Amino acid sequence: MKTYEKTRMRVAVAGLVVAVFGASGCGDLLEVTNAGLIEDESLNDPTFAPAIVAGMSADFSRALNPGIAQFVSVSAFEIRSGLSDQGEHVIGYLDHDTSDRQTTWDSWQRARWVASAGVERLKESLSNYGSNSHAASANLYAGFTNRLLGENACHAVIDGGSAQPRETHFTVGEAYFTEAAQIAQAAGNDDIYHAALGGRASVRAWQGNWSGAVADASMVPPGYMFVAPYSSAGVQLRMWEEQFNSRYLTMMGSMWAPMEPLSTELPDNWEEDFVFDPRTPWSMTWFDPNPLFAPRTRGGGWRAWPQIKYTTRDDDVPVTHGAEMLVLRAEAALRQGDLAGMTTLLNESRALYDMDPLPQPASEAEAWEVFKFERVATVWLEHRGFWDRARWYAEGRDNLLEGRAKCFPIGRREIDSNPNLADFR
Amino acid sequence: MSHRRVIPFVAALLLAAPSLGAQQVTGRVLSQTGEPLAAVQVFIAGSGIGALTQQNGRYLLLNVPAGTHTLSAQRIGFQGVTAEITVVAGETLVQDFTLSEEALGLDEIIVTGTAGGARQREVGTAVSRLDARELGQMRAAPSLSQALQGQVAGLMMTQSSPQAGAAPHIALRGRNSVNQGDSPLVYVDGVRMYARRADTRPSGGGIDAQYNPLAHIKAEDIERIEVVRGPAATTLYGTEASGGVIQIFTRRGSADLPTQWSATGSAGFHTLTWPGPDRTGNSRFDGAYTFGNPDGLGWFNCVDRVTSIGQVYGDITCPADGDWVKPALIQRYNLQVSGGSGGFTYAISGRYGDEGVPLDGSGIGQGRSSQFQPLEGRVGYNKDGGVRGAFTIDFAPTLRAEWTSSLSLNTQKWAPSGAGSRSVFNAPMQRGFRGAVQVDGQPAAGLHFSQGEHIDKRRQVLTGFVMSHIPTSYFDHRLSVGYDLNVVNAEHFHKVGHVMRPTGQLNQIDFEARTTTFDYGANLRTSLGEDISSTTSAGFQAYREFTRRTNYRVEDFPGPVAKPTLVAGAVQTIRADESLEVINAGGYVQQVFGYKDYFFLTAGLRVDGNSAFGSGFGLQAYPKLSASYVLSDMAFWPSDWFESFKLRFAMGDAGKAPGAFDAVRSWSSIVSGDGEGGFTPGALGDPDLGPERSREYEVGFDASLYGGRITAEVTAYRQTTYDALIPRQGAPSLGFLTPQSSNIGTLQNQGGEVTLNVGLLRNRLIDWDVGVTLSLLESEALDTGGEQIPYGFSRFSGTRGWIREGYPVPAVFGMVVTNAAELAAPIIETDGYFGASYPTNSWGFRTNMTVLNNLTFNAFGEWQRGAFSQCQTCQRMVLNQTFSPCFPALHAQQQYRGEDAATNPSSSFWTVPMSEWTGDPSAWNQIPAGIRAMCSARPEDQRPPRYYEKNDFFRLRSVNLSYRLPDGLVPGTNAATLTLSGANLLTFTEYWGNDPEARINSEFPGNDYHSMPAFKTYTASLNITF
Repeated sequence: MKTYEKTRMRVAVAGLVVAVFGASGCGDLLEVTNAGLIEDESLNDPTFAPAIVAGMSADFSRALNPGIAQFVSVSAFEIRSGLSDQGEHVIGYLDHDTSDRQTTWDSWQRARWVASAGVERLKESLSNYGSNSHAASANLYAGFTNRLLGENACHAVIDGGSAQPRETHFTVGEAYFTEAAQIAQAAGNDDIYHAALGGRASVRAWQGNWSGAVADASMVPPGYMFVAPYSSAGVQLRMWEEQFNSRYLTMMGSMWAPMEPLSTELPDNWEEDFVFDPRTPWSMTWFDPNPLFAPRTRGGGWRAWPQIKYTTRDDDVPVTHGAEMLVLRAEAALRQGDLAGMTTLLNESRALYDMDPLPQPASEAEAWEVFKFERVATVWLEHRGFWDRARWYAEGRDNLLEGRAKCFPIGRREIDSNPNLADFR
Repeated sequence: MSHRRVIPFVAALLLAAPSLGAQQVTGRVLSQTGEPLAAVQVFIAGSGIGALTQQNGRYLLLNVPAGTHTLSAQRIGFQGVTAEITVVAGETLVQDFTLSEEALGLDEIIVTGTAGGARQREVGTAVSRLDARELGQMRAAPSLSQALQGQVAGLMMTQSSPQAGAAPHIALRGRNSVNQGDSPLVYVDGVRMYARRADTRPSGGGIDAQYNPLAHIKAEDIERIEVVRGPAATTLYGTEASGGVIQIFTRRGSADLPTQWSATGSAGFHTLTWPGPDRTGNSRFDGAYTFGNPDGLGWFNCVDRVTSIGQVYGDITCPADGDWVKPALIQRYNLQVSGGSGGFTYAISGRYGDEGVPLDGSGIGQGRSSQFQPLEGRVGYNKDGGVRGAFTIDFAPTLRAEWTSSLSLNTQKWAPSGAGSRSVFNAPMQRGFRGAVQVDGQPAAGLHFSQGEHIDKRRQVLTGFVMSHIPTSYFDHRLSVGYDLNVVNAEHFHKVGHVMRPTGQLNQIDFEARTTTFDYGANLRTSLGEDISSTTSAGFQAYREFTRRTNYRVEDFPGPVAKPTLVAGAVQTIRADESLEVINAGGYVQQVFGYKDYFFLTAGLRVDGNSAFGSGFGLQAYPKLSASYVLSDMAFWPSDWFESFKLRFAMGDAGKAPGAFDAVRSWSSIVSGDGEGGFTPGALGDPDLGPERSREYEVGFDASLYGGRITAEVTAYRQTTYDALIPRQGAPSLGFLTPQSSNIGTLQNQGGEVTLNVGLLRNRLIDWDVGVTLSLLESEALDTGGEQIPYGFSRFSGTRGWIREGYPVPAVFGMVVTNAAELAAPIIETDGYFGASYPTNSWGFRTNMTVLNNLTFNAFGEWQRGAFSQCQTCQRMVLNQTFSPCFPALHAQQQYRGEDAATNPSSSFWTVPMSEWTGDPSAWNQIPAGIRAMCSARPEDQRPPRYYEKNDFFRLRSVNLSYRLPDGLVPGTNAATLTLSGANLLTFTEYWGNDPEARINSEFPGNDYHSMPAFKTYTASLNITF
């Protein structure tokens, strides 16, 4: 009887083991659908083309976001403080390592890859690719992301490839802008068409094709503007608070507000000493007015000079616009020695801001100084100034970046992970 | 008759009152040294009559049939004894026992992953065990984690904050996984609980402490703990068990025992001081802010700070009495009742505790201005309450049902600390031109005290049902089902008017973790002839874990709001919504052969499936093999003085599952600035992704000599993690920024563990034990697939943790000054190796002395060596020129820079290159290169080595003095014990920062970034049983 029971029990246990192993391999038991997962294949559906382009827009805005304030500091335009890296930025020190700069490099590259890979995906999925506005937008973002990298990065690294001259991005960007313009024209989308021309005008200029640049720029309406949108409704697309938080970005001591440091007492009529430029708006602010501190600062508050071009997290950043095109054409005229033409175009641009016209400079040297101020003011806090200073420095027209970084090195993560960049390690 | 005899006699009469007239047996059970022993099971074999002794060692058996019986007394950790008794009708028999400690306990049952466990002698791996008595010696350590710290060889523990409620991170035998965590699995009464960190910190900083549900487990509720280290021992737990297993068993009641109550009340206080031993001589932070001012005291008081050039910074919100630090009161209460009747037992406990943080803002600014409002309420606290119940019903002699359930409620107000700009430790410590919460450029930490609060409300329900059935003597099986629910509602609120959020802000983080456990196991015992025994075990286990974390933010309130809703502000955002479900299911089979009960050979296999495995990946099998040989049972063994010796060997595999999304190439959703939904790259994906497999070889012995006076557990191990999931950073130019885990690595940990206890004196006067625990750990990344993986804190990447081939896991690399002692410009090796980030050897020292059975003193200290951690506090202070070790160098630099530097140090420091300094360089030339590098933050001059330094330390973790009051002194009680405790009373270290154990998270490598140092804690407690 005992033997029979033991046998029965062994059979039972063996059956249990089989059942266990069977159950553990059961697909249903281990099947899990987690929220938030979007598989790659699902993006091949043509109905998702708008969302693919929206992602490009979002990643492009994210790529611009931290650099708007960061690079005015790097390029010695304004004083920035508050973050741990500010000291290095203030002295114009850039290298491969600092993590926020790695993040900057990474977000630039992500935006570029998302746009260019999206273009390839849309070529496969859209039957009307050649006349589809979404396809035009995708090419537009591919162009602008290349322009962003060309204007700021020391080298072009594309899709895990080797390091190439930064100007490669302008060549690649021009091709995307051209395709964007063609598709937008076919689609009858003037907005994208003008943006593509504006983008192409700039990258053509940076390649030395000033005639081509002028041709494109002339076709962009003066009042036109293409922006990178931001919204406080989402977490990732809020304009970075530090762009407009006066604690971090202040005009104090800059070319826009050559004021003395915090400890200096201001005269009561200080405002009368300044001519405010509507393209570079700033204000003076007191924080926490408290009689307790009256002996130390005027009015007892903490004084700051914040920029007010962007004042909320919903403010959009201009990417290309008519005023910029006029100034671009002015630079082309200046390079041709046409000081009258330059002045005319600059004044057309100033008129857009209801500013008084400038007199024609007496010399080319004076003209360059006038022009540089106008150019920098026109694209102020639009992530363009670092490139302007760097290219002018290279031409011997500006020395603001003397002893400072002229471009953004390849990020450390790219160097460590890209086998084609072994020479940089 | 002395009172020593009268009291037990009277007590016995009282307890026996309901059944006077029937035969009964009573008595007292004492240890060898005369100490009364509680929880000793006294029973008449085969009769169903038995009882547990109470705190005073007394027991009472009722209705004992007249006649001769064998009376047994047994307790885990002691050698059982029996006595032949003859009970006379109508009389009471007194039978006392004296039990000797059985240090090794080869026949104790321990849990091994199979149903019901196995005898210690059968097990081929090391299993550490702490029982209630040992835990009871740790009065200064009320939480489980504190009680374990340093007590178990091979167990590493790191804290994210000293605040009560901030649970630690536990790792066993080092890090054997790069990216999947090294947390052990934790089971409470057979139910797996969520025992990892839950990140409920707000974005934007201010809180560096982390929460772990382990904080809800209190030492008073624990009957015993078993710590199973390494894959060789955890194979049957399968995937996710390579980090080890901690089994917690809560207190149970006993049938046929009169209801027993136990109450404990504790009161005391935390305080905060620089933990180093020398506050005046070689002090570092003492006076760090008072350059040239010998009167500077303390590092966190209201003394104005003076930088190296004489700039004065005073916190304008300092309390009137000039010090933030105030003792914070502690109160803890615990009430337990246990008992049983017939086939039913119960144990119910309740607790409440309230502990503050030794910082006080109630006098904010009152000494300097009436402008500031004093703090309403405390800066931080932890209020913890809960109930726990354990019930057992024997439906039949062969069928038992157990139900254990607990409810924990906890409210935590965090005192802000850490790297965040709102950290209370940031503002007062920096004191310079970079101060965080400022008014008029002056630190104003009190504003954050009074205008912001960070409150976590937590609930945990842990319940488990176990059914055990033993239908025959050779077969038993068990089914257990468990459920663990953790809910955390964290609110981080900045009131309208907050210095940094003037329009107010509420960050709400809701975290939920639900785990469900199903476990069935069966054992079949047979014999193959006279000498060979066989136990076959098989079982099935399934585990489901669901976690969800959402983060809402609402800001820009229209006006002052005492308690805002999520729609109270103009801007409302959902910042995060993450949910994950993971299911693991598997089965095991194990065969144990025993030869003459002294040699055992065990082989087992576990097969697992997991929802996170890639589609191209099937089931995983984990084998094990172990042997144990009880040499002391052999005839030749000198068992008269060397009573127990067991050799053991084990080999086994266990796994670690990949992340839930790691196998699939995926995109994440993103909303563009135009409000349109879009896609952004998520994870690159790897369809062939599988678990990591850790294989461990372990060999060791357990020994007990001289009647248990000397016991030793010695183990050497080597564990190798194959197919280690290495996060591979794809090139950012390929779009996907998140590193992708792939099974490409091999890691190795090897080390040794020694636990040695020596009974120096054991007599009726003094019982004195000392013990040493040693953990040695050496890890190496054997293969990382060519990757160099940055690991740990990354903001300052010049120096950081790395996982690199040939180095410890993780190792610390950074900028090393190769000519540190030379009077020359520093020569920097930009990628120099510092060392391991974890302690390579840890020593635990403990002593326990009992005098006259009443007065007990015990102390425990820990010495950790070999780890490097980052002192970012030091680095930040250098930037602020408030780091006293740098003052000579800063003085020299000041002279070298010239007059302009003295009047405007920050701008000239940053903007004027050294080549343009125009002052006197002579003093600077006398500064050694190492100090120059450390004390300057000029990137062009050097890249400071980011203050990675050795953080070796010795800390006296706990000191306890207990006095068992004479019986009857407290009326109505069986026993009463008064205990005075102190924690972290002494620390010896050469570390420069806040605290060698302070860190902004509980990971390695540590990063002390304005982190809160350990509290010194003093408590007095009274425990009574009645």
